[in-house]
Amino acid sequence: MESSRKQRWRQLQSVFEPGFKQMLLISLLLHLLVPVLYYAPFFPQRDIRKPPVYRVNLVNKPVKNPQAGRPEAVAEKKKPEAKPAPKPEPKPLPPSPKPVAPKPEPVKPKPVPVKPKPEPQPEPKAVAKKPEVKPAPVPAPEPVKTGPTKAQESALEKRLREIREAQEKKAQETARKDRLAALKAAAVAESAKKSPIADAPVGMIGGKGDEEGVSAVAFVQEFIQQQWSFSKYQAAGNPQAEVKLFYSTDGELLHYKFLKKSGNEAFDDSLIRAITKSRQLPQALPEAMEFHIFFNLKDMLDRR
Amino acid sequence: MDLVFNAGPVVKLVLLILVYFSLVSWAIIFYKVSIIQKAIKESDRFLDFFWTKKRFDLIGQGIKEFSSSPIANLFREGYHEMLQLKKKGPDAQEPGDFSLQMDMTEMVGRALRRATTQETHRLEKYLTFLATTGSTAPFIGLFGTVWGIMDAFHGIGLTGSASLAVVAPGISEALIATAIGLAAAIPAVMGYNHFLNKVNILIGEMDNFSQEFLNIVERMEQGK
Repeated sequence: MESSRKQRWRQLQSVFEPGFKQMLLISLLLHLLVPVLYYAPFFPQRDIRKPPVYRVNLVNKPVKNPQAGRPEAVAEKKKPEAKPAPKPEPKPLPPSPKPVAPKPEPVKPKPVPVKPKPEPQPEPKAVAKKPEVKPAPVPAPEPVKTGPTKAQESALEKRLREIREAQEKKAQETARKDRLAALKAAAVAESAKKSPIADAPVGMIGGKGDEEGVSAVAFVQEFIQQQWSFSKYQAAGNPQAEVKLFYSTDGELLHYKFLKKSGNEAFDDSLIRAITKSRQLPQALPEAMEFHIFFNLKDMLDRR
Repeated sequence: MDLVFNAGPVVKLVLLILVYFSLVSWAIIFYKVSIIQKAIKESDRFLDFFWTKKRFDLIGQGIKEFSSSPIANLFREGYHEMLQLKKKGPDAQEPGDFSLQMDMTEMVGRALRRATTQETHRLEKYLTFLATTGSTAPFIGLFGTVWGIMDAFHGIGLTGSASLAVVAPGISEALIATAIGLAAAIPAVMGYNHFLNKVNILIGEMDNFSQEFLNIVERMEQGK
């Protein structure tokens, strides 16, 4: 009896009662089950799709010999060029040096009308052809058959009227779009004027050339940096890779070559991914160009 | 899950503490469920056994199989006390033996009270941890959250950009601490209340049994 009493007392003092460790194990297993369940396939992961962001920058186009310019043209270029869908720029911007004043000019063709304009042009032509073709056969049968049925004639007239109406409508539409574009351009020009830096020339900080725009090298490097993704937890040391890139005039990557690998495999891989992603530049280059770029991990992480 | 790994060191520490709390409190909940379930079941069985046998010596022989019933333990203590008194009864010559002058009912009653206290302690063991978890885990989680949000705002101050994309990850990282604190506290509080109720019922049963046992002892004394 005494011994059992002592045993009970000891049990009361002990941290782990006999069956408690087992329960602790069960509890641990259940807790481990929670993250497993979380990653299990029957919990649908929410996939968040970011809406595409289209940013178009017309002023900071890449040029070969940028002039000295306002500093924030450099800072600005970081973001504006980050558009994944750059297609809407088949605009006929000759890389010729422009006077400083007509900055709004490149803006004008840019907004919506760039695309719509070519659209209406071919269409009216197609419409116009139809009436040409149709009237031709009409006079032919007339002399043969003394009376082409009135119904036929009226149908033809009706068709003609429809076509004419459609043409008018199209013309109105284009006129309206033109006006809209003009208004938009005016608004953009106005806002540009209001900006205190609007009068500063566009260029690079250390620019020595005479062209308005940013250095093509900086542009390409910046664009590749935008496509680049790398976990900062993988970063070790300060690897630097040296890459040669060849781009065609329309900004297509023709070929690239590592002149020197960084030695950090993860970093090299990330660079290859970024370069592959930037095989099409958002803007055309002034000419087919060859770039010689150093990619430094620390610099790139800092700039992010 | 990335939220956890991206969190700062303080938030991580808080999360670790909370996971520990949750782990132990769940273990206690499982353990107590089994212990108290067994105690209630065996007490029921023992009471049946007690009222059908009606003889202390028979009951005393059969007591071995009710080891986890608190009421059976009560009986064992009381019966043991009775046996000792009876053993000392015949040779009452020794003047130093104080137990002779004592009233048997009172002695057994004291033994029962002591056993009741011990059993109560045994049943309530670990429950304080549940209570602690229930009351402090939300605060610990809140601390982690506040710290995380402080960090996030500090980051905003450094970068100077307060867009949602900058603020949101830090805050959601911080909020996970509160979430885990609540996740640890809620079952602990529920378990604590549940077990406290069950233990109180068992204590009531033990008190009732003590009274009945004393009555029987008293009747035996007077019938002598």
